Amino acid sequence: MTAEEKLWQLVQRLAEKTAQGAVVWEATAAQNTYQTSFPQYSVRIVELDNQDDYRRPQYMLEMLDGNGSVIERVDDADIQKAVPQYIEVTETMRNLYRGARRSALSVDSALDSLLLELEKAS
Amino acid sequence: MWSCGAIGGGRSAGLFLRTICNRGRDVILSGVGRSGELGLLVSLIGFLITIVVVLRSKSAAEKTGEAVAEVRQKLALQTAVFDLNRVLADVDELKALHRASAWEILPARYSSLRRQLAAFKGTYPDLTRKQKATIQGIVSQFSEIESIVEKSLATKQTAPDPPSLNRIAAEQGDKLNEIVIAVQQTIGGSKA
Repeated sequence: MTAEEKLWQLVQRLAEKTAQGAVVWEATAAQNTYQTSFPQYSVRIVELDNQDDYRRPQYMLEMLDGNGSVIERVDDADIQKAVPQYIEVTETMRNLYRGARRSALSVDSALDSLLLELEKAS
Repeated sequence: MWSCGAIGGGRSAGLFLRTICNRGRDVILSGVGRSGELGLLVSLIGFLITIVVVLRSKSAAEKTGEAVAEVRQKLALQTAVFDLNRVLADVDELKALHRASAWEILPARYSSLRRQLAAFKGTYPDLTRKQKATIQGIVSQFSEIESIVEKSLATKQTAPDPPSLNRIAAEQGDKLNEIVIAVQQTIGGSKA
């Protein structure tokens, strides 16, 4: 299995676990960047402007070691090239980014609270 | 007359001591007329006392060893708290330096902070997986802030935004403080 294939597996698992609420993300000082951490490594997901098509942003995944140094950086196009048989790479990374953002900003709790308030108001 | 049933000191040692004790009692009961047997009895009693003293010393040495290990662990915990409090003070200083826009000196401070935290995570053995992940997250956050400041210094364009950096720095300080409290509770909870 190549590094890109493993990265693709990592993206898929992170997307699944984030959707389940098992992986919690946090905002960082950089714009459109969210991170989650494990005992030895951290992972960041970044949404970047696409110079060719502003309607289709790019997604980048970064891995950081114990000192906070970036040890791997890959975007959706890189992964797509490595695993052309999977057409859903960009979509999965977009979902991961959206899930990370929702997790970091506690969007789910905000939605629950708003829905409850609306129920009380009716 | 004495009873030998109460002698302890481990299964085989206890059996051995009881045998000696019973033999001594038999000698006394049969009349201590002969000086040779009396000498033997005195020797046996002396031997018996020596063994009991040795067993007690061993037990005391083991207890001392346990106490030393406990004191050592407690000292390690107190050192951990001291180290973390120093890092917390550094985080507060970073916030002040952000407010003062002292960008030139900040990258070295971030690096130092990251090194301290990485070393702490690597050397302090009693951290939970969650605490290790939290420290890893703090290291990564300061790495990101360092990158922002470095880029700003290199391009000399937009200066970093102190309030947004301090929001992240304050969050990291709070997380670190939770770990300090948890480690302090470990010290309080350990036996004196």
